[in-house]
Amino acid sequence: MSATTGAAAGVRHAQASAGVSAHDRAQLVQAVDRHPELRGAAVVFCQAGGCEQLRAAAVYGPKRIVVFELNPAPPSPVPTAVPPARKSKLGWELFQMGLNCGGTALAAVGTIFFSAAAAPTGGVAGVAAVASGAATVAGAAQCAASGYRVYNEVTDQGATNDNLDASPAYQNTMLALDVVGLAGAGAATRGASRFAGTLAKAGASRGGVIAGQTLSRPMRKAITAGLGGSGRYTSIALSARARQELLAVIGAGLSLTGSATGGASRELVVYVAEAL
Amino acid sequence: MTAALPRPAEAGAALAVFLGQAVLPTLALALAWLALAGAPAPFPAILAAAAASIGASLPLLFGQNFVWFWWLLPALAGAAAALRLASGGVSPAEAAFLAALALLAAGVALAARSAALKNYLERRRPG
Repeated sequence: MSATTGAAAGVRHAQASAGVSAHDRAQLVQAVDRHPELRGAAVVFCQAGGCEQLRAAAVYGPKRIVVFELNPAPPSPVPTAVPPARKSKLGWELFQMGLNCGGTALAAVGTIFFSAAAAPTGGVAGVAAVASGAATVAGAAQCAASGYRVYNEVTDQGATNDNLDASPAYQNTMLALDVVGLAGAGAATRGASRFAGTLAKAGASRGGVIAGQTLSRPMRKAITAGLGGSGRYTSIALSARARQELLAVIGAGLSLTGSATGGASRELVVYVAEAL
Repeated sequence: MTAALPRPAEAGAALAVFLGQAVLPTLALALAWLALAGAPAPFPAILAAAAASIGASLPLLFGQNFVWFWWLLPALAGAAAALRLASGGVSPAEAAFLAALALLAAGVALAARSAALKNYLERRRPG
C-alpha cells in the first residue's frame, strides 16, 4: 500500500470503526488530498478481503490510486507463543506393551508347553488352530510395534507416535493386527468352552484335570469321544490340554484388554462371549 | 500325544528365544535408523523387520530346530546401541532403554545356548 503519513492518520481513524462511514470516507479522502502529490487520486478501502472505492480518480491529471487496507487486529501482546508441554505417555505405552507382549507370551507358551502332548480336542483344530497361530504372530508384531512406540516416547517425547496415530496406514495396520488377534482370542475361548463342555458331560472336574488328576478309563473314553477322537487319551494328555486351554483363555483376555484400551475395539466392536 | 511334556525351564528358554528373536531385531533397527538417518524409523520399515524376524522365529514355536546364531542378537543390539551412542544426544531415559535392550539380547543369547533349550528341541524331535 502506498500512503503518506497524513493518509495513515486517516487509516488509524478508520480502524476504529467496523465499516466505512460517510464521515470516515470523507476523512480518508481529505487525508489523501492534503498531499499535493496525491490530490485527485482514486481512493480505495480494503477490509476483510473486500475493497470499496471511496473515490474515483480525477478525469484529468496523473492517474493515482491510494489503497487503504485494514488488517486484522495484531496478536495480543500477552506471551502465548510457548504451547503447553505434551504430557508424557511413557507409562501408557509401557502398559500397552505389557498387555501386547504378555498376551503373546501366554499364547506362545501355551503352544510351546503343551502342543506336543496335548490331545486333539477339535476346539482349536483346523481353522481355529490357524487363527490361534495367526493371533500369536499378530501379537508378536504388536509387541514389536509397542516397543517401537516406547522407544519413540523416550527419544522424541512422542512426536513420532502422534504422527503415527494420525496416519491412516498405521491405524489400518494396527486395526488389522487387532482383528487377527481378536479372531484368535475368539478361537481360544471357543476351544476352551468346547473342551470344558466335554469334560462336564463326562463328569470330570475341570479344576481336577488342570491339576493333573488321574481320570478313570470310562471318563477318558467319553472325553475322547466327545472331542471327536478315537481310542482313549491318557490323563496326562488331557491334563496338558486343559492347561493349554486355560493359558489360551488368559492370553485371550490380555489380547482383548489390549484391543479395548488401545486398539480395534474403540472403532470396531467385537464381542467374544463364551460360556465356560 | 506321545512326546513328554517339556519342563518349565525348557519351555521358558524356548519362549525367551522366540520372543527375543521376534521382537529385538525390530528395536535394533529403530535405534540404528535414528543413529544413521537422524530421524525415527518409518513404520513400514519397522513392520517389515518385525514380519521378517517373526517369520524366521516361528518354527521354534512348533518345536523345529531353528535357532539363530546365539551371538547374532547381542551383536545386532550392541551395534545399534553403539551407533546410537556415537551419534550423540542420548537422554538418560534412552540410555536406560539401550541398557535394557542390551541386557535382553544377552539374556536371549544365554537362553539360546542353554541346555534347557537343547533338551526342549530334543524332546520335540520327531521319532
